[in-house]
Amino acid sequence: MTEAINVTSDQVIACASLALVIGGALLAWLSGNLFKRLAGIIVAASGALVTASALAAPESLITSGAAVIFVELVIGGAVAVRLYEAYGSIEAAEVDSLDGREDLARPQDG
Amino acid sequence: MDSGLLEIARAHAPFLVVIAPIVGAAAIIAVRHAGVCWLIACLSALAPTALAFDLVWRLAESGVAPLAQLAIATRVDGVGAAAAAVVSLASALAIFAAGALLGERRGPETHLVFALGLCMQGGWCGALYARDWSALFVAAEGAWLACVALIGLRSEKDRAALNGAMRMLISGGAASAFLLCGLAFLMRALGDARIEALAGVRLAAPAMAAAGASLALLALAAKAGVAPLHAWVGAALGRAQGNVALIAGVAGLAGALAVMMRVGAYASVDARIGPAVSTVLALLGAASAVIGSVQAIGATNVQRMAGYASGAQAGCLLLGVALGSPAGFASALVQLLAIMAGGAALVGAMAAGGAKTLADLDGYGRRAPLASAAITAAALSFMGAPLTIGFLGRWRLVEASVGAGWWWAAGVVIVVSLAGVFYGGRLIERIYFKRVSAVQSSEFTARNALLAPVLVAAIAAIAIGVAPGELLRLAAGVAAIATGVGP
Repeated sequence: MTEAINVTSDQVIACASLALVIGGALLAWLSGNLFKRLAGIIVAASGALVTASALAAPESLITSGAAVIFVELVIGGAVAVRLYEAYGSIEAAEVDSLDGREDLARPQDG
Repeated sequence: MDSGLLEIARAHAPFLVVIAPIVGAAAIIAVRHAGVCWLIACLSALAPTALAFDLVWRLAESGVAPLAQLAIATRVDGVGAAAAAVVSLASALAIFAAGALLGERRGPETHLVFALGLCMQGGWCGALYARDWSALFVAAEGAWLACVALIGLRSEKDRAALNGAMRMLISGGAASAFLLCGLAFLMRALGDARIEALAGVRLAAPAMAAAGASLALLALAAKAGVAPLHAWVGAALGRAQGNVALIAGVAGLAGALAVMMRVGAYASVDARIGPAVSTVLALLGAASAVIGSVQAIGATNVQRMAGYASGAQAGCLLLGVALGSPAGFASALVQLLAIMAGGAALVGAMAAGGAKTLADLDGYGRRAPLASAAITAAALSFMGAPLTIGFLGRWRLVEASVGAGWWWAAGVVIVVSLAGVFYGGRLIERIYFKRVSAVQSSEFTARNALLAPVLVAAIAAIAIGVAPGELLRLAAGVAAIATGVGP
């Protein structure tokens, strides 16, 4: 009986954290601000780590997952800062529109 | 003495194929001198490539390869070993071509291009030889992050490369979370962290295993530029510098696709989860083939076109894996080589003349005849013209799919080939049938250092199509042990 309850609670945690992953991914894909997008990645990755823990994944996977998230954030932060220096904005729509204008300025660049 | 060393190297081939590029990258960061770094990079990329091909040869010949047991456990299987050889070759060609950077105004980060290229090569090969899911995750993510850093690094000429790197990171970061979840599901369902367990364990929860494998495959598809999960491809490859696009766009995409092939091969042959995984792969493959083809037709930036065309070819590759049969795996391996050869020839030949758009190709045949020949070979291969490797891969896929009763897959192949005639034909038309403007002529500068690896890729695309016997024999040999033998 106790084992059945434990399995169920694991499954509930796994489902909840999977929802966190999906929410984070949606935030990352749909948000207009680049730093919010990075925040979405953090949310999604945290959800993935909780899911892995709830499913009793090996420590090696969880540790390496955490390390990967850290490196992603370092690289993402560096790229976002350089983007701000280059474009003067961290709004994805603004950056895309500036890129689009540059594309149009080139002959037949699609 | 020398033969003794060689035998030791052959016995430790998987370990050396992974570790040699990473050691080379560390040496490059220590040395920093661009010329010396390029030499180190070429050695660190080419030597493991030779070892990887030797391993494939031995596997195809005898079905087994005597390998030393190491504390860092590796798992050698047919698909992984053959794909690692192709990825190593793609990376070695791209790194050799990056020697063209030495002739340009060099930034302080030139040596990092070589180091990141090697990290990417080591990472993808690590994922292809990984014994457990955790190692596969770390290696694949390391390679992916090296790709992102590479795209963002060379942004001084075009700031849009930064936007591409950011999109790549966001898509790939979200995909990483799904990959982690998928692998956690798989390990829970298998009760084992080893990849080979998927082929031999009695599954307690097949539905969970199928969900895990599908999540992992979708996450890898986002990293491999497979449509419709390829939102970053146009932005990242379209404005990246030619050399960087060659490393990240050709070797990087080939690596991600290869890892997808390996995971797909293990999952699709399992009787309990195979049908579900095959369905996911087939849907993804058909969607990628159609969407990638349509986007390639519409693109006028040739690097973007190459990215979308690779997505279309990747669709055919995934259809081969979805079949879950040795014939399907063999066709997928040929297709992987075709993507690599066609992509390297097209992107490299564009970079050789500093061209990026279709308009830049006007009269290219007169200005850069060798590069134009390479683009023509790539275009013919993308079309699937007879006597090219592109034709060979698709023909094998049609044979395998019709044999399995998947007639619709043959229709998808025809759609990809027809689309290839449109965009490949436009490339050839621009090169040989349009006049060059005075401005284009005066601005043209050839980067001959790029031509050698580009021509190797172009010649391979044609030569293998003309004399396919040996490649088909090797592909059939390793496909027969697709999830086969371990050390």
